[in-house]
Amino acid sequence: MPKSKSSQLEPPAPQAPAVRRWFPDIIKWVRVGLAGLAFLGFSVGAALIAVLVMPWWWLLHARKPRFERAGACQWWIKAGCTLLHDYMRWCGLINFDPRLVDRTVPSGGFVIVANHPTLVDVCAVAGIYGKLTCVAKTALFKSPFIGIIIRACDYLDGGAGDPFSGGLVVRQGVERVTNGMPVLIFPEGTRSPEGGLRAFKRGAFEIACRANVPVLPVLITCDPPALGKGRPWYDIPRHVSQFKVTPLAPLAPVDFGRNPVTMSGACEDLFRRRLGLAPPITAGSRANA
Amino acid sequence: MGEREPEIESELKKLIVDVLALEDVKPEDIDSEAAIFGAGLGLDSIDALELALAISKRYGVKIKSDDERNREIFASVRNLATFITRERASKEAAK
Repeated sequence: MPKSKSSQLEPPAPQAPAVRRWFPDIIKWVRVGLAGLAFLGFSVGAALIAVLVMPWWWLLHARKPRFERAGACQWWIKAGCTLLHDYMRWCGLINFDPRLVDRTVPSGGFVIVANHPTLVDVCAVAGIYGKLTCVAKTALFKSPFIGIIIRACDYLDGGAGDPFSGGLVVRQGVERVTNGMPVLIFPEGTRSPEGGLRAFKRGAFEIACRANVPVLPVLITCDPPALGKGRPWYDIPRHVSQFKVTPLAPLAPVDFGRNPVTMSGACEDLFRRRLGLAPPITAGSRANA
Repeated sequence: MGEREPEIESELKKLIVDVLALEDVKPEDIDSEAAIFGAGLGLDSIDALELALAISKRYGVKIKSDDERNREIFASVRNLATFITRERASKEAAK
């Protein structure tokens, strides 16, 4: 009893300030090393899943329906991504636990739309929802270990920037969501600029409107910023980054007249408001799509 | 063949407007030499696939999604018309 009382009186211990004062450089390099291990762990983890898990997955699920089979493989992605975030949290790199986020999702298929401040956003969202598919570059499908896994998970082939890539992604996306398989898309097309948001492309909303399934907007914030576009991975902020994922209320295509451009513009406005950003100068014009 | 191209061009313009449901563009407003994608009509890669499918349905020419010439073929209505005419001619010749 006295023990719990004393711990109640104490303010929550800050992350070792005294140590930082004495050994700032050592702490910094240790953290860079730990972050490097996270990258290494990602590759090693992917290789282990590809070599050790995939053969069993194939034996167990080869005869099952396509999307059920993919879902079984996506479970491993979820486990791996959760483990990566656990590691980063334990090391004091990025503070996020996918288990603590509300998992309420629309029934059936839906499109998850998120902003993209960091390199670990896919892992965060996959760690929360588990069953989902993402878009990956064609080159990634050919990479030795990751390629095996994302093919097994039935990820969408994003093409190599050819004139039809967007259309092909929309077709693949519609096929998945109509079969009850959620699709995650970052409508900015790449990582967000630091503290900002790029104009949304309409592909994600095109999938939702054509298949008439809801869009689940997921707001991601990382403060102080880390692992962003244009910032080297070893440029780690002095303080532990607080990473937050906030699912917002789902949007129904019928509320936007099933018009992807209107829906995209409205969704971008929603993200801008929630991020405290000014509206863009040219909102939702077709040329931006 | 030289006389046939303008006809196919106006057909293509109508096809573009119909397939992509462009509300504020009329077929006759489209310039045969202007860029279809990006700056010109402002169409994107989602529109490109829809258009390619409509063209292969209508004219029976196959447009492969991984064809490196696509950027050139889809540069303007004129290029598209030339491509379709040539493909059909070579198909006829093969028969």
